Amino acid sequence: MRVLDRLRTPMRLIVVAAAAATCTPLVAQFNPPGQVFGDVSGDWVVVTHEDTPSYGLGPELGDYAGLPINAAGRQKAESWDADVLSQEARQIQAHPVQYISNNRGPTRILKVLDPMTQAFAAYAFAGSFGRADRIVWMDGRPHPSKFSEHTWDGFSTGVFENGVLVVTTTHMKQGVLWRNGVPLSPYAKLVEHFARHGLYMTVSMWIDDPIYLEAPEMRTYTEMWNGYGNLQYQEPFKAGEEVSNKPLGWVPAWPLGTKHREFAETHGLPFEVTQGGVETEYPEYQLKIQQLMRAEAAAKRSGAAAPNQPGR
Amino acid sequence: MKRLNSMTMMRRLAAIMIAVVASVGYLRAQQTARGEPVQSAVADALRDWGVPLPQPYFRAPEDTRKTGEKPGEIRAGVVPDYDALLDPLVVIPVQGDVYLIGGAGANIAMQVTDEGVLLVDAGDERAGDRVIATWKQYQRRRPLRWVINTSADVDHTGANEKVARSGEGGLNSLTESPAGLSFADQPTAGIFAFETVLTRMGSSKNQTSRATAAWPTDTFVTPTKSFYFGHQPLELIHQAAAHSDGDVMVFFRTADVIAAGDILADDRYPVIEADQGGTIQGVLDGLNALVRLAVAEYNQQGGTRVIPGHGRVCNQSDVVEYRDMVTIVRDRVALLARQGRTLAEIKAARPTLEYDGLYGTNKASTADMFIEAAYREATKSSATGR
Repeated sequence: MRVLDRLRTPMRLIVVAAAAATCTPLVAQFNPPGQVFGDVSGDWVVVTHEDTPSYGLGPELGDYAGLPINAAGRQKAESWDADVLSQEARQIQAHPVQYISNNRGPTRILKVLDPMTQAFAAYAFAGSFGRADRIVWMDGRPHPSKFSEHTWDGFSTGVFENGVLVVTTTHMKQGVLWRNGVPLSPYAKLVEHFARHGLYMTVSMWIDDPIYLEAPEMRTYTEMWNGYGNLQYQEPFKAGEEVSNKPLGWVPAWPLGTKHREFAETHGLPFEVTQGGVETEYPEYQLKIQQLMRAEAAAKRSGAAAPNQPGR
Repeated sequence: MKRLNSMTMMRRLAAIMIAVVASVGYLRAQQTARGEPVQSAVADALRDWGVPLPQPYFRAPEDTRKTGEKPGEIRAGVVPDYDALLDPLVVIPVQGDVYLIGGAGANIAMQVTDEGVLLVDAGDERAGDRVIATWKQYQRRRPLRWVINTSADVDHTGANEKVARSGEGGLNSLTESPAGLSFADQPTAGIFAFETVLTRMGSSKNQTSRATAAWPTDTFVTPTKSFYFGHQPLELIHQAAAHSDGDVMVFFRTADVIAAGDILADDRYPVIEADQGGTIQGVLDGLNALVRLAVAEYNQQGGTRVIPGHGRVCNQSDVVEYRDMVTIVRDRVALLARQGRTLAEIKAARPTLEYDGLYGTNKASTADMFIEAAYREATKSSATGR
């Protein structure tokens, strides 16, 4: 009996050590120093009044205001012809993640657990718009090699930084930044921050693509908890014979040098302010717009050609 | 005394265990904080088994621990250098029994079957040993049987001789000796190509001329050649007058993978070897054939995979993007040429501006070279009334 009493303390220590041996790796894996876990799983829906004109009907042709596009991006957008979506091989083309990361509808975010260990491996985003699904790997795996395929949803990995889910996405297909042909290259990089505040979640998108952008594009939107949401299996896009009279190899495009002026003319804006560029992102550009409008009005009064007409 | 010793031993043992566990936990926490996956036999096994996902996932099961990059190291807007010779080579599963071997010059498609290994292209001569080590690493007991050349270019066929000799196709290739040509003593893997590839390799006047042991052992002259290997039909599709006059695409029907050779090189503008019978129209015909052959799964992704001569694995929608680019630039240059613009004026009009960041960074095929090829064809066809 006395032996057992004397062994009690070491036995306790052994039990504690065994428990620590079991738990420490798991704790270390999912709550490393500096990371605070803030779960985002559940059903969400985007607050749809944000950017509705752009995401609903879509932006007007030639409207690049506020987009930090460079000359290459502008030329690509000007030559983009909406008819291209009538190509047979584009009729079921999904929106790329860099354009519509939240799919603008109900979203269900599931935790993907390893069936053996219950270890948290990934978040699965189920999209409602044509099954715009995504996987965000949370297990620390690297991104694929440069030889690997690019997909509409890209390859995403996430970490928690002070309770905010930070998702980095690469390996996306060539897509659009805006639905009027403003391009993004397949070498763009998307970083999203999912900051949950109770029943709301603020999501910021940071898109860097020096091939078509002068500076990274920044967007935000708000998701709202959708506890009664019941996102069921959604129909993916399937090809239909909507346009069947186009031959293989038909590639519609506006000719080199095209300038889409309708947007500026319809809204009474100087053409230059519709052409985008990093300058047009900032509030102080409003002063320049006023200057350009005054100059244009003065030129019209004098019957001369308006200054600052597009030279690019 | 004995009891006291036992107590002391037990306490020391417990202290050591706590110290070990705490150290391991701390190290793993540091490892995770650095973004490195936790390394343990159990974790490795689980990752290899894969995690069942609740939704479709259009990606090959690549082990990114071996082949991938950390997200922080991927720079936005930078076209990767696909021509760099790598050691070790990158091997990624594409679909079915077909893999892509990258980093050996041109891309190599590798089919691994119970019947043996088949390679589409052998790569750069300097990477030959690594290509041999790679197929031997992946083989299923049976050796390398066939090498198929998609063109005569040295970055595709430079290692023909070395790689073919590492196999046992059952055919004795030709060898050169002072006495003349004779069959080699040892059987090697067979080399299959379109006939003009053999012609060009055999011509002493051509830059693609090669030692006899590197020559194709089998050729064909028909538009297509059927071939059965490893329990699946293969179609060798000749595309006339494309990047050269000997281009072949290899369609693995069961795996649903097409090795396109240099008809598709999605990291650069098309390389048009006009002195070897290449034309932009031929490349476009080849790209349209790829678009017709490939079938995407829903949402225009997945489905048939296309391994380009250079660049990353594609599917139909990537081929469409590339085809559209070639068509648009070709048509722009042709229109400007018809309007009487000189070549210098056409270059100054920047008809490739929006594509230069994607395809104009490779010295093997710059924007100027592509514009010149398009101009040459446009003026030639207008001169001949076509």
